[in-house]
Amino acid sequence: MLDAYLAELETELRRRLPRAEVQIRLAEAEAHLRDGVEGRIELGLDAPAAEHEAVAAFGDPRRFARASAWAALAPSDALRMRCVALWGAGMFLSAALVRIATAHKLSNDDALSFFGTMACLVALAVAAFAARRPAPLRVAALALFQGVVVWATLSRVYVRAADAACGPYPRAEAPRALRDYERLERAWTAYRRGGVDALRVADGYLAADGRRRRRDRTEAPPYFKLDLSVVPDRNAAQESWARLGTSTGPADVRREIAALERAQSAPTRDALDWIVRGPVPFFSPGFVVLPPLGVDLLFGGLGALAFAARRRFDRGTYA
Amino acid sequence: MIPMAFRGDLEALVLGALDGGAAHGYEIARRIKAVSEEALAVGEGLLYPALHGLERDGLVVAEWVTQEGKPNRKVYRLTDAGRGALAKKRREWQRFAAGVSAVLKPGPSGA
Repeated sequence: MLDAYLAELETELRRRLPRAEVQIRLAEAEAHLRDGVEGRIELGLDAPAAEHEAVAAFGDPRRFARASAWAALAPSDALRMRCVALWGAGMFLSAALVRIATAHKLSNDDALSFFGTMACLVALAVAAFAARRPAPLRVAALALFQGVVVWATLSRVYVRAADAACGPYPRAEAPRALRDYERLERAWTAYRRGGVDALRVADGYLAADGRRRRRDRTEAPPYFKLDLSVVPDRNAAQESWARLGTSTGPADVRREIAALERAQSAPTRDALDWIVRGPVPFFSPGFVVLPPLGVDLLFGGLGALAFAARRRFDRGTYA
Repeated sequence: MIPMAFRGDLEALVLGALDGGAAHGYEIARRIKAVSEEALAVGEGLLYPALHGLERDGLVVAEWVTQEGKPNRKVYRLTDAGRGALAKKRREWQRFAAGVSAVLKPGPSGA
């Protein structure tokens, strides 16, 4: 019976602990059980009865294995302090990142969510690595999950920042607006090189030999049509462009272009660059995976409850 | 709030048993049972996770002792930190026991 019990004990231990730990636990259990059997035989019991009593006194092998695994995995007080310090450092880092991100005029509503997400990330990572027997797959799954949560949280941050930078202008039109700006810059370069005619050639209104290529319309050229449906003074834009044709020097052209820009209410060139070519395109798909702070804390809270319940169960009490 | 649970604190019992000298797990279980006059019967298997936890926390140290013809045995003994922890547990238990006794004491009209 003793051998069968030890075999079952070994099976349970192997499911929960590394091989070296299993050997140690098994050796101690075997020594204990054999002492128990010897002691009971000395008291007058026969061998089978002594083994039966010794095994019964030792307890359920599954419970022993669970408690042993907990004892092997539970963090010591020193490690707990390091966990707290790491968690605090994670919070500080989160706050620093949010502070840096506010340079992009982010909404403060997301600061707490990002803050909490980073804190949970640090706490989960430390808890996973605090185990004496870290499970690589579990750690990888945790890291992936939290990575997705962080990405989704940052997506909210960046998308809101991009929307704020665009103002009334639709963010989806930002790539088109950026292309229009780049055409404007090319036109400006052409003007500096060859005057108004060069500008009109660059814009396609005149051929290189000076012949008119397109009907000379009074409306603004395409790259100024930055969603004119939302611009209050479309006439001002058109008049500015008409005056552009009679400008005498670069300063006049720059003034007119600036007036057109203001009239169009489009985001600034720098904002468009950031929205179209910055981190926003990478993060914006995560916007659909909205990680409200409550979800993260709920998972963390459930994990903590399970952790505490398991700890209470596995520590065991005396009968 | 006193941290000791009403049903007993296994780590405290182990520390108390080791106060009588170094011992292996079976001896610790036997001491607890004998000293308490069989009022306390520890789940013997659960002693070892408690011992490993105490060892990890530096309250006990252990060494393997070879025995001729028998499996090697791990013997535990208290460290200075363990003695300090035991003293603290004793104070906490005394406060707890005094409180429970006071509450359970029959009143003037009780039997």
